[in-house]
Amino acid sequence: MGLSFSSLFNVLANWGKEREVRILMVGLDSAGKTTILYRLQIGEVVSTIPTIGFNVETVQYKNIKFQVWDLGGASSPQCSGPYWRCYFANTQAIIYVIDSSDAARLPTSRAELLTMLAEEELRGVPLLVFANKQDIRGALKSGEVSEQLGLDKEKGRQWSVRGSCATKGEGLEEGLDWLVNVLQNK
Amino acid sequence: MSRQEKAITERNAKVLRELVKRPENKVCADCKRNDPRWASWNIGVFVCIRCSGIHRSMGTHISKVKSVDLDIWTPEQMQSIQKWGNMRANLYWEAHLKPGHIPPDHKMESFIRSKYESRRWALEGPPPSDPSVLESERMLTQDDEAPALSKASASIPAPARPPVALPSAPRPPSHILLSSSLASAAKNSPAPPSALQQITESPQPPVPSKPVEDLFSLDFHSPPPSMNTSNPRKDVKSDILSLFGSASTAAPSLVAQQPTSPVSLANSQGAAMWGAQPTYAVAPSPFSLQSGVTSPPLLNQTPTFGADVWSGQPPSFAAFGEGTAAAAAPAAKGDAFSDLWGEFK
Repeated sequence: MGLSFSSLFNVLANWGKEREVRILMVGLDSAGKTTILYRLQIGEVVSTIPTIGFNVETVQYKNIKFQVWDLGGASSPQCSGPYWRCYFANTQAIIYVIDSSDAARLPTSRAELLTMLAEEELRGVPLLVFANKQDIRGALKSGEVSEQLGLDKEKGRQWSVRGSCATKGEGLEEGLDWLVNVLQNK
Repeated sequence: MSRQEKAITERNAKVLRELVKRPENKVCADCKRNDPRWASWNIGVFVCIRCSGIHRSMGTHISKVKSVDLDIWTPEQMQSIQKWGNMRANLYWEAHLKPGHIPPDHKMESFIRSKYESRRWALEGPPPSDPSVLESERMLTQDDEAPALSKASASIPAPARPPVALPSAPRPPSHILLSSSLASAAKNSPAPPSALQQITESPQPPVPSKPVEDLFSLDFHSPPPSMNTSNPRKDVKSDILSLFGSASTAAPSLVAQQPTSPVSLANSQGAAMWGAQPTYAVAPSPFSLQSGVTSPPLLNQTPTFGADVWSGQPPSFAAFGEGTAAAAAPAAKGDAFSDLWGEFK
């Protein structure tokens, strides 16, 4: 315990204090991307309006500066793909946000995600999926979301699907922990 | 997108643009500001971007928001917004709210949550599958409650009110038509009684043909809140005034809808004001943070200094690929992080 703590500390110290990681946060509209972003950044639930364009904020987490690009989801699936593409270059991690209570749109969300992952620029980029809105009754659990996404076929990529509730701040840190871990080992 | 899809998309966009030009849709269904460019397609209302944000915060099980200008709409979504619209939707959702009520800005979140989540002013029962019955019902209600009004409107040749079998008017007005229409819908019968059908078809007359009726009816176009009165003469006045009143709100609403500031920090106050007791009790969720499904570690991972730290947990990593291994992840990293991140758990 003590040992692992100090080794972890060393790792983080050696890794560079000002390391900045560029993260894309995408997903369909109303999934909770902006709420997650500001929950991470200022620790509060802000009231949001649909994002037109994007928000970008730096989130300091564990010696790492996450530069999080929150791309507006409020354009239809057919539009969003090409539009997201402009932001793909130099991305070190993807956070994909899903409204777990909106089972009807999960197939659409899945299609969007797979299309995006097929992009050459995003090859091998780690993927963290937040199965968000777990507080809503009837929301799909992270396991069910994971199953429907069918990410097992993703070769050469580390991914994780995690339940979250952005309005309560639940699950977000755990997700970032996973991401930190993966990025560190890359 | 294929050419055909493109054509459909363009046609839908055009229909939507026409819809928001209709007088009842020209103001936000909730705050009554001018020029709403967003919609909740399942509820069937056009709302401003600020209110759309509040709709989204209620969750997609209550309201599904789309942009009139930016989004591509599916046929199902088009159908819903076309059959509802602000007037019919508010006949249902604001049935027990005094006509012309405009909630103050700082109470908007609580108002919207009360309206849709707690159904505080809604008619009983689920929204009718054919919302047009709401309008015929409204006319009956007017007959009952405001004889002076019916006198006035009787002088108008009213295509909306065929003399044929208005289901005998003076009854508890609220649910008769609604329930009968539901019943007929349930039977899957495409042909309800002819009188009803005529009524249901009438509520979409070309807009210009309605002004007189609007003057005398309970208005739905945002009169100033102070002018609620049962006196029909004053109603006329307030309706006319409201034309000016709502026009003057255009400027502030533009400011508020600037998309450049997506975040309103005023929220912390707003949150305190949710007076609403949701009737949909949200059960304390059994949701566990300890759940997650993770990819197996990459095989070609080169062991680095950092990897040594984690190498203590290979067995649980192997389990990550399976949905059943949900609880394994946090357990695995638990000891490494528990000191650092204890306060987050």
